[in-house]
Amino acid sequence: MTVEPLDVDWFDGRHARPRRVRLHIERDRIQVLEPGNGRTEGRANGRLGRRVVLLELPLAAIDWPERTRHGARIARIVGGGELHAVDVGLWDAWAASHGLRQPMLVRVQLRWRFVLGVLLLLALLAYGAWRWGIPMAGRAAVTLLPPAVDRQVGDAAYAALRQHWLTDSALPAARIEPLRRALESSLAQAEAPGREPLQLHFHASRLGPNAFALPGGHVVITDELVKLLDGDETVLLGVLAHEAGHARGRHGMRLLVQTALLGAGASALAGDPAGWLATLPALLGGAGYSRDLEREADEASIRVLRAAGRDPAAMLRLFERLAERRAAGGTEASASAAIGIAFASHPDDAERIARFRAAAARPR
Amino acid sequence: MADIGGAHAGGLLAPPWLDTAPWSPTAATTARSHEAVSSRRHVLSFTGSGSEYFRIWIVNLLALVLSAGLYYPWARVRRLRYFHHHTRLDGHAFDFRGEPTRMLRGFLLVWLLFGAYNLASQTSGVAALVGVGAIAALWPALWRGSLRFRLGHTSWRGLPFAFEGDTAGAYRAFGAFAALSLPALLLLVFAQARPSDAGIVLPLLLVLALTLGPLGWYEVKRYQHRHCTFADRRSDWQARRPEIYALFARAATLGLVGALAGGVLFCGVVALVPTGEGSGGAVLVGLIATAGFWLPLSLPHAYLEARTQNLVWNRTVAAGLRFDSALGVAPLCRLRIKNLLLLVATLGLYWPWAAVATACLRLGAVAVLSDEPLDRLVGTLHAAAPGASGDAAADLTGFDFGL
Repeated sequence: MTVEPLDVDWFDGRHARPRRVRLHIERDRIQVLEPGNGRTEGRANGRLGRRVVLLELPLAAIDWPERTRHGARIARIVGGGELHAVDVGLWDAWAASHGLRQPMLVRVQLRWRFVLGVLLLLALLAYGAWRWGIPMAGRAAVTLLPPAVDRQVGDAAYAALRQHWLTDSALPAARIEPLRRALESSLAQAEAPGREPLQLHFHASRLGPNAFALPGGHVVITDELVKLLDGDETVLLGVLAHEAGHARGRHGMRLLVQTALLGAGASALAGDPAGWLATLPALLGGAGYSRDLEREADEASIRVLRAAGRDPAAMLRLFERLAERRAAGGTEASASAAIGIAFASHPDDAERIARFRAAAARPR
Repeated sequence: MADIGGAHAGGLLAPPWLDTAPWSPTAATTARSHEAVSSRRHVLSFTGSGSEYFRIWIVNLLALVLSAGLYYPWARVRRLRYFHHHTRLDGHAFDFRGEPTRMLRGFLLVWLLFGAYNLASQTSGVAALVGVGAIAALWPALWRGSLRFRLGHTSWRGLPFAFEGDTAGAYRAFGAFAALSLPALLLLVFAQARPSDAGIVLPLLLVLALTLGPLGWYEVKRYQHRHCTFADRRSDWQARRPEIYALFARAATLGLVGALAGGVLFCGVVALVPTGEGSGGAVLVGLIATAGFWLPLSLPHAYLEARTQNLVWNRTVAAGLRFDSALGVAPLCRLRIKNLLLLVATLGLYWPWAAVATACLRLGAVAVLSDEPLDRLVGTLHAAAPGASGDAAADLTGFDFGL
């Protein structure tokens, strides 16, 4: 099959003036011909007419453009000069008839069907990374991280909290010491021997009834929470065991690593549109990780309570008290209850209640 | 000639006077007739489409994800070529000649640099400070490299642009910014050390930014726009310092008003919209409130963007060539608000449409005024291709040097 030569504008790389020429491909060489003396006349007489060859190059010396809907077609001549399409439709047809195929990605992006498939694939990849990839990376990163780093981070956080939020506990030692001993002995029963002891801190606080764990084994419980639970030892032990679960699982560092990875991934995927939009998936996804860690900590709490021979169902009283407080206290109370052991990044109370109740019903 | 004319009858891509090859026997007459057309204004136009750019973006994203980021230079070249090939001047589009393989080396170099800095900054504060210092010290050189790479690989009608500013000039251009950031750093250290006296730091920082900031911007733009070459022409920039100070003062005033209005809107949304149950509701309210905060800031942002573009281009000249940029604040502001709302509504998927619409408006506002027909321009011979690492550095940090 003979293919008509293509009329294009040739720029020689020296002059801004276009020169109308004809392109002719012969096997792996391309000729830039003077217009009017090309194949068209040649075929008419049954043989090629006189052709003025302005330039002859190997095909590989031309960098062909991608196909787009409204864009120009500019082929770069290696070493200088450009060939511009005069009629884009003719150019595309001519290039195709010479077997100049578009790269695979371009063929994909030319069809909406494929693009939607790619979009779906991206969504699946993003979901997979969020659901499994990043949590796995978080766990792996924490095993590689020396515990000294946890301590450094935790000590600094505790010092900052101590300065601005926490004051010395007003509870008598007679209430604190039994709790401390109960936690130590039940942890000793639930865990393998030789674990580093936790640092348990009792504080009066502006945070309201609350308990939380910091990296490096700090566990903080507020006087207000002890009072809210009327010193109920089993529930307080459950709360402390929950926080101990966070501390032992190095959940603080894991959450740090996972949200950092999630933020990096989100800004890589969606960072182009707008910086602050990329924070949205990070925010939502991060809350998901936090809920997963809370579930793990609840399981740890159940293990410790059972090892100490106590009933996990006692924890239901915590949720009752928190719910009562929310109902009675209005916005101030619900705002403070939204931090710490019951922060918004926790699973629903209903789900947690069901977990403790099921644990209580489980045979030993 | 007739068959050539027929071959592309109705072809929208070439202006009518290009129908005749200049070296043909009739060139003398046609050259004269198109001179009258050519020696007027040539308006830049952008013909890209959002839906097409969306498809390029999505496919690039997948390739980036699957290649763990190594596809980046290819994605960048494809994006740049899309924009260049849709930007037309006097009937012909621009081209980008950068090679991804060359850019990959630069990209990896910059990635290593920032990776090392990130690692160092996590181990100690001193290392982080040293890292910031090192990057700041390297920045002018990287920035100059990026300008050279970008311009050196941009061409129009087969003629490459070039950037001929030297490294010493780049460091001098950042002198005012250095003079600004050193006292600013000292002020911040002071605020850290004596929190009780920190109240004085913010007004001092503002004064510092308003006195030295416009000068810094002026120096940088002057360096940038005095050293571009195309064909045998070299650009010059003739802006004066007072007009820059006046522009920034007006923008700062508008910005203050906008920030106040934004604050009021943000608090209003938070106070009035019921949060509802669960964190989903809180996130939604937060999102709407954030959008409310940015909405009034669209005006000062658009003002600064439009007026600086106009000032930069209207003061740029080259022998026989001038520019006329008449980007309006109102259209740009409307577009920004529309983009913002649609970006929020589509969770960011609208972005390619927004980028295309912005390019269309900004480029369409610029015209090239030439004393002689543009196709009379004759280029000097190719300069050696400049390095690519500066370009990658600029892209990583989101610094945009383009129009």
